[in-house]
Amino acid sequence: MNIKTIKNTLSVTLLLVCYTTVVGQGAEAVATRTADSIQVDDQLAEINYNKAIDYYSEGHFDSALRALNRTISVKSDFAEAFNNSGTVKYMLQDYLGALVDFNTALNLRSSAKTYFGRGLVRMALDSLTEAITDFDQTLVLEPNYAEAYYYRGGANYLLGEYQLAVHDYTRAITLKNDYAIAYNDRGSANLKLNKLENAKSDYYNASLLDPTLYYAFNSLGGVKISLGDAEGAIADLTAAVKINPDYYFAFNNRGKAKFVVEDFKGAIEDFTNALDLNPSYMAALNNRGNAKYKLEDYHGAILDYNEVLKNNPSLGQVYLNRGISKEMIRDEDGACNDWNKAAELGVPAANEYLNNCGDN
Amino acid sequence: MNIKPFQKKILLFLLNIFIIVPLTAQENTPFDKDFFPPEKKDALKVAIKQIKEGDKLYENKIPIYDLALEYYLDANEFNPDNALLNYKIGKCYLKTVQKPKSLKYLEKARVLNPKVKPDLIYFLARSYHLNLLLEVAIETYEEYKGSLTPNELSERGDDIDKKIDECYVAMQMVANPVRIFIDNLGKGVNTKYPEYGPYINADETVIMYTSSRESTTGGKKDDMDLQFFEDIYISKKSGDIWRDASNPGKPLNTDSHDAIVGVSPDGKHALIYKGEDNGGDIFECRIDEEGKWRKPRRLPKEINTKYHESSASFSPDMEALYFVSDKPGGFGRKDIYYTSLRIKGNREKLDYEDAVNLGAVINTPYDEQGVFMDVEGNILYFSSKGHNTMGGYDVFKSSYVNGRWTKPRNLGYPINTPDDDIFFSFSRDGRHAYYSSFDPDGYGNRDIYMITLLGPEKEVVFMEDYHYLAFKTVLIQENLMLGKVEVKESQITIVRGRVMDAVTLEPLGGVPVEIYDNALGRMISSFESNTRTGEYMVSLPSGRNYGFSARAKDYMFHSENLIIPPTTSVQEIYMDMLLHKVKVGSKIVLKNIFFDFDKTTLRTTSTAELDRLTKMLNDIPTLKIEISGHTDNVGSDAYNKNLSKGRAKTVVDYLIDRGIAADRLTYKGYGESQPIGTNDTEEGRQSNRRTEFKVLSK
Repeated sequence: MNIKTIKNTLSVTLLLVCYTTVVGQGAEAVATRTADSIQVDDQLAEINYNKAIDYYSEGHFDSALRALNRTISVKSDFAEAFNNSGTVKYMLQDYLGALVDFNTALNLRSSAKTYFGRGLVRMALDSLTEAITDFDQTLVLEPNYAEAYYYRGGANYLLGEYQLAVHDYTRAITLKNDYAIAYNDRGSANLKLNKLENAKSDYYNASLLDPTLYYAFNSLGGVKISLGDAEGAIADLTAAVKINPDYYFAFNNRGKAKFVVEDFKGAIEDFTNALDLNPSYMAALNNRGNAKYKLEDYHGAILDYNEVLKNNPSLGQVYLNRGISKEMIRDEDGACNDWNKAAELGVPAANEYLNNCGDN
Repeated sequence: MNIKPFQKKILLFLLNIFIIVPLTAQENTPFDKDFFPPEKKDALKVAIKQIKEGDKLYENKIPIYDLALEYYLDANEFNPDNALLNYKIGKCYLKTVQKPKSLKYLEKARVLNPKVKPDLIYFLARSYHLNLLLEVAIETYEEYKGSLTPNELSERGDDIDKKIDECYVAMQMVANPVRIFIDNLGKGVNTKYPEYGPYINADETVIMYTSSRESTTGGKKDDMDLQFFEDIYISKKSGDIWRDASNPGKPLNTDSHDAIVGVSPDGKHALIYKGEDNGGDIFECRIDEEGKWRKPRRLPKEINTKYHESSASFSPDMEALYFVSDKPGGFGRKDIYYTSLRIKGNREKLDYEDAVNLGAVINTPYDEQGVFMDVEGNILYFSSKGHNTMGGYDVFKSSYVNGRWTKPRNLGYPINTPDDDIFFSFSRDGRHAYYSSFDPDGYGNRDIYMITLLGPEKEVVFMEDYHYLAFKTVLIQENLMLGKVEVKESQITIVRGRVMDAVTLEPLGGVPVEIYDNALGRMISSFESNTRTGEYMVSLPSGRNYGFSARAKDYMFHSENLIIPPTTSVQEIYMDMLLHKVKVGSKIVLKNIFFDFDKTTLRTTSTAELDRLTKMLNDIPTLKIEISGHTDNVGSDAYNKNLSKGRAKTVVDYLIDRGIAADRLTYKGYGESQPIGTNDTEEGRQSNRRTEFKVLSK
């Protein structure tokens, strides 16, 4: 029995993998390998597993997934590999595949991070209550898991449990003081609870902690509009569009703020910017119609409203608005017809306006 | 027709006024030849003559300001820097329908000579007031008040204070304008002559109004103002167009003044004002069954007195009449009264109850005028110089609720202005009002207009989409990946070799080879040798104990025990497997049978090898074998023989236990007597410690 040492371990290992594949296919094979050795499988699995992490961090999710598939094919009890495969599938929005992987991982080994991952998948699948259960389990295993609080807050928010959401976001912030998006989202939950000042404070903190968080600036601007500080809102919304010039929501909101300060031309510019970025953004089109109305461009306003209603004929408030412009061009029948439609669609103000319509 | 909200016109008009007023220092220039060059002597004479003509009209018992103004403006063309002439022009304008135009001239008069007339400042204040220059109007009223003597102040102070109050009201009204459209009723109704006092029937299809135009009945002018006598005209609406008005002629109209002051909701009854006698009275006229107007009848004494009755309105059921009279006993000079009618027959004879003053909620110490009851009978529109007027008459509205009139509400600017806003009639739904006004863009003088009341501004609604993000729409960036693991590298041993006939060394191809992990007690790999060369190769983790076995047809199985030491690098082991044919006397070392130290107890790691042996015995049922135990030379010979015999028996017992017939099996303990290696080395001693089987028969 002769024994010799081969130094280039990795190369040899990979060669072995290749070799095994070759010899298993033909009658002339040197040897037929029906089950590789445990150790080789382990090593191969670990190498592929680690490689998948590298791929993932580089954003090459497909490559990561292939590497993880190789991992799992040779080591079917590798819980971490299933966890990571679930993660990659989640990123690839294969939520059902991700769910299967996280389930397998949890069957093999209980892990806070895996429960957390499955919770996220369940959120993506809109199984919010089950997601909360997973986040609960995550927090049992790892009580200081700030992200678990954050996403549980998100699930509660989506379930309309805004007070619970605020509680979760607060816990997340307590555990992670610079958790900008938790501040942002708590702001939104506070807004749902009609706590405008709290919301404003949260959005402000979020924007302070992360000056690139354009949607926090956008929300801060929105709250300021609601609080009557349209000038302040314009500054925040300007910051939002500066950070993200493609963020058409902020253009739309800044348009609304400019509308409030009666800069109707500026408002039209912003609404038009929003529409240039997203031509199907009907809210901006309606709002531009409103600004045109204020500038007494009633025909222009009606054109905008027409376009909105062409896309979505069930928007009662747009009928209401169009009726108002029609009234100003002396199309009383048209106005009353629009208000009738708005009333049918449940817009309360329309009933009041219909009082002017006589027998119409 | 697209008429923009009225307030815009007012603002533009005011803007024009400011643009054209040059308040530069100028000197008062009398109409005197000393102040003009000789070549302008004739023109001066003409101008002086124009002034004199104007003065005749201006100073008439009943001044005719419109005509005087024409002369004055001509003279002013020649000499625009005369304070008195500017004052007179301003004052004339204040007495016409073009009151705002007074400002330019009054301001100039003040610049040229502020003391040209004692009341210049008052008229200037009034002009500011009418032009909605309210702050400066207040200052100017105050200035005028300050210029009055104590006697004058006691006589006029209240009036001036009221004017100042009106300015403050006007400020509020202008700051909160009501939204209206104003439409000229068009050339079917309006002409270059004055039209006023419109009354509309309930469905807004018939309008009756007053006009003094050349088609007046009798075709004459009034000597007092040189205007045609007033007549009542009727226009009917066809689609959206008011058709050319007709003069119904006699008996509704006469050769004298005939002014409409009210129409019944069905348009078949008219209330007419005639001012020739009895201080001015109200008449009723109706259409007979043939559609002809009957002769007007003076309403009885319960309504008409020797005082001035000037405006009236039927209740919708025609059973009551609201009218205005300045008879004594009211709250002010002109008040609104109410009387019920007791109808007998086909309204041929009307009995009225005594008129009742509508009371202090409606009537004020100032004048009320232009009463109009809506078709529902519970909203009274009227004009008043009292209440919170913003100047002159304003139009008010009061509802009759639970037996009481509500506090009158000013209809607001720009329906109301600091000028007289009077004689409005309203449509059934209150959305339209009809009135007369002067507009430079109209057909001339006063025209009839329709106001459309739009009500409070209708707020356009945003589609609420602040996009408050609570849950990120972007993909989760949380690091859900579990970390890397340490790869246990290089603990691999590649085992390769050939399977051959032990005697001929011919390669044996297609021979099944099995590898057992003796620690785990399970097969971890099985394969066949190369069919042509008999070669095999397999990679195995190092540091473990393996059992190799190979068995070909007609050969006894071959087993090897391979203990691969741990290593940090890949190693390769070459190991041939030599198979012996099954023949009597052949011996095979069972290399993968293990016993506890110094005992006869089989270790579980022996199971695989024993099962292979069992299988071979089953495959060759005639085979009879001897199991033999062997030791090294450590220990006594007797002890070793006994131990080796016990171990051989244990193997035989295992095989019997697996169903092999006992008569096919024998066993012997040879102790140290048949060594196959040296006992001088551990390796040699290990090879000597063995279990064998030998074929006894096949």
